[in-house]
Amino acid sequence: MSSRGLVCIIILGIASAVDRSKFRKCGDTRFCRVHRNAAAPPPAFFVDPSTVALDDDTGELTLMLRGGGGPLAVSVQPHLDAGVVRVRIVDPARPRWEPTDVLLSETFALDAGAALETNDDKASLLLGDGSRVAITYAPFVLDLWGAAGGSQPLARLNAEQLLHFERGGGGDAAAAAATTSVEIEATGEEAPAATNEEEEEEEECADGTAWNGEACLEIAGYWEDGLARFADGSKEVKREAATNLKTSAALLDVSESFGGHQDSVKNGPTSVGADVTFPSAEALFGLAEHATGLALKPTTGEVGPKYGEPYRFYNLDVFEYELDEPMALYGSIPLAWGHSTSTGETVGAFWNNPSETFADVEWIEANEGRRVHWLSESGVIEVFFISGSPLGAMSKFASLVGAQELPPIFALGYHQCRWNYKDEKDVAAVHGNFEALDIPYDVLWLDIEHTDGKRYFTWDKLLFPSPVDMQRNLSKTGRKMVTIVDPHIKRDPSYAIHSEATRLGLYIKDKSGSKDFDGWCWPGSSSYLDFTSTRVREWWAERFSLENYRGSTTDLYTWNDMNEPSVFNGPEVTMSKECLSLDGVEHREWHNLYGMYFARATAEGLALRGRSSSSEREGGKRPFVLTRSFYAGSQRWGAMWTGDNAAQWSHLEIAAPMLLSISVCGFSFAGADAGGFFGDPDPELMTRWIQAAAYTPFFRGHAHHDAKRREPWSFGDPWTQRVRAAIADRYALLPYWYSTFARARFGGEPVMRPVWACAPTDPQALAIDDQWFIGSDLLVKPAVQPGVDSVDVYVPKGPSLFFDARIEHKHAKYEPGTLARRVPAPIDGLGAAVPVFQRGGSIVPRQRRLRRSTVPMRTDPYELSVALDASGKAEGLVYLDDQSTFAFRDDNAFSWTTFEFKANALSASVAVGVLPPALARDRATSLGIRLQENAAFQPPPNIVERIIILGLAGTPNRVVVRDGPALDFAWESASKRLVVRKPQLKVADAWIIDLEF
Amino acid sequence: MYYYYYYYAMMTIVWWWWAPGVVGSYRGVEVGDARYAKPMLACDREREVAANMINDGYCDCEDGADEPGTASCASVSATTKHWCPNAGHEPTAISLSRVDDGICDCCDGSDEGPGACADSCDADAKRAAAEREIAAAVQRTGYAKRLEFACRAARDRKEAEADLAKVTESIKAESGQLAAAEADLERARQKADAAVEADARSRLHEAFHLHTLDAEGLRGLVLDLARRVEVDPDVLLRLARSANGFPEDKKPVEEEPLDDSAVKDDHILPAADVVVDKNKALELATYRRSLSIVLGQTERKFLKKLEQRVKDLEAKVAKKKSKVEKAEAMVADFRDDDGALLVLRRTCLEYDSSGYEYDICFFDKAKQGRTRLGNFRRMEGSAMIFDGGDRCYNGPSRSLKVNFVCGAEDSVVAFTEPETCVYVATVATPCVCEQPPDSPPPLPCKDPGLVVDFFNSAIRPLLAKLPFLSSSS
Repeated sequence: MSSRGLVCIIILGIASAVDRSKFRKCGDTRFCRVHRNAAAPPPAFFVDPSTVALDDDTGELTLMLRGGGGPLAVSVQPHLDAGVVRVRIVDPARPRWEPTDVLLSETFALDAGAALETNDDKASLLLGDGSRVAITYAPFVLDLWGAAGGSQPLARLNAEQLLHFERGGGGDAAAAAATTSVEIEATGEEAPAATNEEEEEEEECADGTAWNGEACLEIAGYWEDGLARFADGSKEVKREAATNLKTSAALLDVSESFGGHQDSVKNGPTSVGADVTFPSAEALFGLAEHATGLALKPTTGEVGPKYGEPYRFYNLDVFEYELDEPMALYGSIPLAWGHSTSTGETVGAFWNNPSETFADVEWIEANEGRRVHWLSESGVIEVFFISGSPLGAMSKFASLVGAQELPPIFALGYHQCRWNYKDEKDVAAVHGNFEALDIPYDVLWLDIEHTDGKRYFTWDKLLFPSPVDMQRNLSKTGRKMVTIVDPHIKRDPSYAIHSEATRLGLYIKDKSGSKDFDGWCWPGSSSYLDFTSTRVREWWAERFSLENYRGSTTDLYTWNDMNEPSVFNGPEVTMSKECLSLDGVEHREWHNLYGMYFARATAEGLALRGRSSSSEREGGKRPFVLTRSFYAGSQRWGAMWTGDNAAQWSHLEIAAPMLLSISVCGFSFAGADAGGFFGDPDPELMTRWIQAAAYTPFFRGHAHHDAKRREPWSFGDPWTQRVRAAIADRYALLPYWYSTFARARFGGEPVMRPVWACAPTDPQALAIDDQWFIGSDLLVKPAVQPGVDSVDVYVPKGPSLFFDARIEHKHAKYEPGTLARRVPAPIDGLGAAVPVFQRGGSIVPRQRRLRRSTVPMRTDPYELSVALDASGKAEGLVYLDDQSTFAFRDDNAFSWTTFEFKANALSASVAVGVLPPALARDRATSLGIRLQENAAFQPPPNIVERIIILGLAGTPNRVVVRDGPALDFAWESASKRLVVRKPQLKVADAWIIDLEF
Repeated sequence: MYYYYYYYAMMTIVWWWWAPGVVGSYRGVEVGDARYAKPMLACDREREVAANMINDGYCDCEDGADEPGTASCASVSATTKHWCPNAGHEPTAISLSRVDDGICDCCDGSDEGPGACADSCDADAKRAAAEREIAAAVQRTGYAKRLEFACRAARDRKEAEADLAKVTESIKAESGQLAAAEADLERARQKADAAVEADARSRLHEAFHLHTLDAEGLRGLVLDLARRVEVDPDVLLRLARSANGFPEDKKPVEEEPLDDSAVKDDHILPAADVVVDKNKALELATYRRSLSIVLGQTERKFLKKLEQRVKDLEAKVAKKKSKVEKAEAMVADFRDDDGALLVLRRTCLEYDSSGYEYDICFFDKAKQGRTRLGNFRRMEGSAMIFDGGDRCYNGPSRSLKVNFVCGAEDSVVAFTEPETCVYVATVATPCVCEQPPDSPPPLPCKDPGLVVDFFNSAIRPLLAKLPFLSSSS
């Protein structure tokens, strides 16, 4: 490529601790500039009326667009799942690579009842549920109207005419690109303020050397911050990234250069973009993963406090990430939800594109809704519109990309991690402390140092000489172990994984297509398996068999880190976009999928491991895989965490909004490392973090290897007892967590829910992201600031009143739509430190007996907490299965108990192998659950040992099991609660208890 | 895992089986515990529950007192423990969370249902007794050595104190020398400063052509100057008085002539050097030439010598002072102790762990292979702290904390790195062995002074009589 016309500005400067200059911004990225800052508007597209056609069998509407190069083919597919419409725009002349593994199924049932109405300038597709898709021809605009009609469409595609489709290629195609893309000129705005700084052309260091601040030295290695390390342990001093700006003279040169890395973009420009408007939305949510608040801030337009950059989706290992920045992080789910409290309806747009993507958010003036301008470097345009109630819409999204897989119950317990537990003695000592102090935990983790020189699937022979005995020692008390397995493979011919992968040709190729890509990561020089290939994934899965993974047991599970992938010496600490998959597809196309494919291959390996022979039917142990990188649908393979956070109050505070954003994007099993990865938390921060994290789905304490020890006992009493109490709280609530995860698996609803999703018509709920719901019944607001001992809790508008779930605070009652001021959150309130409110009208199960781990809890009795609504009713669901295998999915071996309180009677009814009335059959089957009465399945024999009823006006005279004995009970007048003692009825059984007044 | 499933099947049955027990012999209660021998059980400080609620599988007391034999009250607030009789071995008290959890915690298996656990009490007791015996033997041996070390430390300390006194004395003498040398230096410096000042004046005189004027000429000049620039007569009067060495406000004494020695100078600059430029003149008026130009070589050498002497003496005193401080600190470290650990001063220990070789030289330095883990810094309680070692790759500078436990010999028991480059070692040594419970009170140290005296007074004269030895001494 020609370099004529390049204006090369290199600014000499020392990068700050958090090196933002290492990561590209929109202005550094050609396609983003073209779409976002176009000097002239992109070409308008028009529908060719003669091409508009409806396939009567499927209900699919097709048409062709003209304008800006050759024709584009549009397909509109209304799903049978009402409220879901898929819109695809492709270049029929040059098919492009598209992901095939994101969607649960490529063949969704379409709404065959759709009818087409056309006239000269528009078409209208009428759908079975009364909603419709209206298409305006000139220019092309697609409007989605809800069944209720209304004055505004739910969503509009291309209302702003930002549809843009670069056609790529050389020759004609390049010429076409030139006509459709208008490059901005190098302006002062683009050039960083360089006038007062040292400005000089710097010689780059020669290959194999890097700048140490004074000279170019030989590189000894690289670190996760993306900087070279020298032999003496000192690190590279980064000279600020070179920014190459093209003048208009270089229109045809689409190559890119950033931070000393070149990208020739050999296929030419193939970017795509379009605008989606949510006319009645008052707020937007989603766009995970970013370290930002829950409600999305504008990045363009005239209204609102703005970010200077669009939200970016490009999975990256961001070392010491900053908060309140729309910079890309480890994972990407390009899904935005627009919500209207006047209708209570949510509309989502899922922009299914795994190449580098930006989302420009705009708050339209005069409260005319919200807009997202999507732009991706490559691929096709595929947008799913999803509408419904907030939870309903999220369920529908789950049917598209998959629900959160049901974790084995141990994974919901407490996880203790550190980089690194040094050796077997260290592991025994940490385990021993949990035992001695009677602190529950389920999983002990080993980070990269457990391996033999960062060769995954191996053990350091000196530090971990007897891994099987070590695991047995943990599993004796019901504990599990997790080891880390990363995707970079050490290029060492004596390492079996490497030599076999090389021999079988399983590695990603460099841009030549003939050589295995070689990048730097923890082990040094490494190659990366091509997990986009089915063959590679199958081979990888087999690595986890007990025979192949020496020193592993079935109590060993897996942590997938660094799977963005992280490449220390690559552009933006990741892989060059020019690398090629085994199919010869550029990494550019599938970058954001890599992390998901890797975690998937790992989960498939662990699931495979549970089966003793190939003839045995499915039903092995559920896998547990924690991943750092992810894409839409990754929830099918396990859990995620928010990566390398820091031991700061601000990071504790941002955890809730980040987890909520990830949850509404379909990934429920999410957590942030308690304590903060980098740095040292003081005991107050550590304790508050554990208290808060106990109420988030994935609950793990972790620490950097330079950080001081911070296990629960590290600060001594009273801190140890506070942390212990917080962890015990988590365990007590496990039956509720597990049932809520089961509802997510069977119904697609998120586990951790924002307040707005549970109070859809409350405008005040939109801004709240420091409190959340677990399931639909518990509202949580932990203290996340230093020195506080109370918090203000917003009780959302709606039909429900709320009770403080803590007897210590007398189960205080709160009316909907109020701000409960100074709700106690005492740091030393053992078991009552976190304000948790139970929704009136709900029944929440607990297991109050403190145990070592989830294993001994399996048959422990339950306590039911019944909180009555204003009309004296309540309802709750408890899910039971074997807690560890896929028998629930494959053999419908599960039971749902519906508890219902009304007319002064508490009843239990059981559905075994089928759904309770509260859950939708179609949703569950679309999520892969087989439903059939199952008499063979014996639900676990747990009994109910205690029933607590809140909200009664007074004490009954008698409490009696219908057709059975009278029960002891106590009326506690201070807290106005009735405690029924020892009903000793099975959880999974049918019975009725009457309260006689 | 299947073990658990087997167990779960039994659990509910077991639950009923145990409850309620016979009054006075409840599961999980120490035999003879009077609290449980009454019809009502006191719990939660102010409450009472009926005896038939004990071990009935339902938690009525927050402290767990009513359920010592079930897990019903297992919670953060439970203070009650489950008592394992462990016949044949020592009874233990375990957390209620351990009761009926499928894991054998009591050696007699009384925390689990019947038949769930094998009784290991006899074997455990034997093993424990053997371990105790070994520990006791170690303690006995260790403590005997410790006493010896303590005596040695006492002697060392005495010597150290004597040294300290000696050093302190010599510091006194040297401090005197230092003060004298400083005074000498001060005098020489004043003299040199005066020479510089004189030099400057003489150069100024030359610059203004004053050096060739006699007293009369000077007087004339002054008067001329006074007339030209209209000097206040009072000012002139005061300046003149001052020049004559009188206070300015008194009348001049006519009898004393003006001292003209200042204007007479041996060094007369050639006329060509005479400055006429106004600015140059002003510059000259304030300029002082450096000592090295003004002073002669001998004078310079003399001054340097004085300076060097002061410096040397200062260093000597400082060195001795730090020696004293160190000695004082060491004595202070063991103020509350018998100082037995001090014998480790001359000890280095090696240790191999997971392929790494560690060296600890107590009160000195520690290493891992060739990597320095730090120098001895201080005692922290009974632990020894080393810090300031080599920096870690991408991390902090290394440090080591050594914890001591009782042992018959000096040896490293464990070497860990709980945080990156923060090492913790456990060292067994007799120096910290406590007195065994049944041992007699320690004998007083043999005074080494007595031994020496005895040698000198009794043995030496005898030896002196042996000609072949005395000749060599």
